[in-house]
Amino acid sequence: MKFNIILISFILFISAITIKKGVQLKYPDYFPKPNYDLKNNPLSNETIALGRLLFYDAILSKNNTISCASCHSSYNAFAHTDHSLSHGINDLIGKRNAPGLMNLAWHKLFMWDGAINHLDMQALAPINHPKEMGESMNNIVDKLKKKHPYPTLFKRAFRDSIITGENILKALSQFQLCLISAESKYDQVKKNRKKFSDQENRGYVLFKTNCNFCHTEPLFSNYTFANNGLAIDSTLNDFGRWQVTKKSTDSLMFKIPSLRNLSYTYPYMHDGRFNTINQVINHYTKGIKQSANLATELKKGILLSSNEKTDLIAFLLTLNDSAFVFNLNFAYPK
Amino acid sequence: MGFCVFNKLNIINLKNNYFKSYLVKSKSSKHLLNIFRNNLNRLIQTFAKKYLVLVLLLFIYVIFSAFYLSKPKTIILFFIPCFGKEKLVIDKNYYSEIISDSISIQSLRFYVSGIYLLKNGKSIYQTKNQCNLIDISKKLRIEINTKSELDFDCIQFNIGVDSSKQVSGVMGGDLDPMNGMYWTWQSGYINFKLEGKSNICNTRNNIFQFHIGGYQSPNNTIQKIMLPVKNETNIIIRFDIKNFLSQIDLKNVNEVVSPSYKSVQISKQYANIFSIE
Repeated sequence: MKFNIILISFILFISAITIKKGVQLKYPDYFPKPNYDLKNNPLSNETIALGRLLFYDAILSKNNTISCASCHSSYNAFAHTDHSLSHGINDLIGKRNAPGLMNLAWHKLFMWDGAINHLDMQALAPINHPKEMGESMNNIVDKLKKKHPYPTLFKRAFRDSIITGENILKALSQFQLCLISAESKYDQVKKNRKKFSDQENRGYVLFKTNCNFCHTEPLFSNYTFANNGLAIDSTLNDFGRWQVTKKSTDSLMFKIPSLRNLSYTYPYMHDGRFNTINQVINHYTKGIKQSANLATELKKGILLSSNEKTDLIAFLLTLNDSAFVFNLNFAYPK
Repeated sequence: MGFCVFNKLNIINLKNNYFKSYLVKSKSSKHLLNIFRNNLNRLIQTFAKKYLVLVLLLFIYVIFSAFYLSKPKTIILFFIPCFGKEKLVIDKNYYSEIISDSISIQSLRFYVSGIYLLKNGKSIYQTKNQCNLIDISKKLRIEINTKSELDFDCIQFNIGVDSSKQVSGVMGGDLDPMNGMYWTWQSGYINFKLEGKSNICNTRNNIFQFHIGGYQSPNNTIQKIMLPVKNETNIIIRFDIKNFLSQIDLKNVNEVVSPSYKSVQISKQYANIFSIE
């Protein structure tokens, strides 16, 4: 009798705590503290589900043909495979390659040039861009008000059936915050569940001496900007970070992408100029274009024998996270 | 199956036992409660007789303080758009002697934040985290709710959204990006938006556009404004668009739509068009 009461009250106590705490981001203990402040946008299952529905709904574009997932497909670690430059409404071609979406809670600035200062505000850029989705937030609010079951879902998520730009963006953020990739072989090794092969271990050593400075473990990017010695593409004349800051020292600087899931996210670089990992490594060993603000780590050049290149690639492949890519919770909602 | 039945019986038994013990308990506690109640009544009666005046005074004080002493006061700021001496109306043609041509305004909106009331240069009241969008076709007033009567001789406010709000993610109400006062291609609020037409502008449809914003140095466009005021509940603030346009070479400067040194210059120009009626 007493034991039962104690047991029941204990269960109630625990459930009360968990209800109060709500949904938490799940990530391994070797990850740093997230950059996104959840206090302003506390996670809930209803809001995450709503964000997922919006992410996959073409209603966010002007002619209802392009959704976020059109260029950020879950099967490609939320990148746009096969297209060097991504295409939006009416087959208009943009000027950059859509990057993979993962571990966004740790990013500081968004877009290849860091023009966006917060995850919440990021979605506005593709929604409004005439070559991407070409739509305005006002129109989206009007369209969603008339489309079943959105008013009900907004009511459930925000306790308010009035749809606002704020709540649309908060829901999209919540779904994207959940896109955490932390189950690759590298992670299994970190969690002492698996071991690297000898070749992967040799590659890991090479990685730490040559790549880790910018593509820093465990997220495999320090999310800053760098000039990595790419020659300018005269058909695009994209000067990257310079376009935002107008500082000459920021010319040709682009956001350092994470190396996680790299097999799924080809083609590579901000303009998708390289199709294979081999091409990327060859760029770093013999394709660097010298300039005043070239990343200091690249000034001396990276020297790798062909055996070393194979070892390095073997390690890089351990960053592929198939559990993330094929996670049904992130796929098209049915 | 058998186990389940046994379990159910067991629970019923336990319940019966529990109720019995509860009944015994409640009998004794009822008795105690009655004694306590009787004594309490007597205590209150004697206290009321002895200190009747005191109790009455306390009662009156509570009522007074609730209704008069802490009665919140509302100060209303009215923003009146003007074109010279005339009141500014959307899409109406106004003549400007400086450019020798007509001008019409299609939209005019700006953010007002960080409102302070001052007395002898010292802040006596400030709005917390309030950011209001003033829109010529929607909203031209801001209400400030103070806790008590204030004595002030000056008002201070910012035209623009302060930098802490520029980087802390999405917000609602007047700061909702759906108000069209947020740049989508590069993060940041538009602090001041003025759009209109004049034949002097050699642009498509003769349109001029000023979308003034930018929160990062050296292109920070937030502007602090201080105006001496009388201590009144209604503060009427005029802003003269003719004055603003007269400071600009509209023929050559008619499209400033991104953060730059030009927008900083323009923000300084519209900062001095505000006056108290």
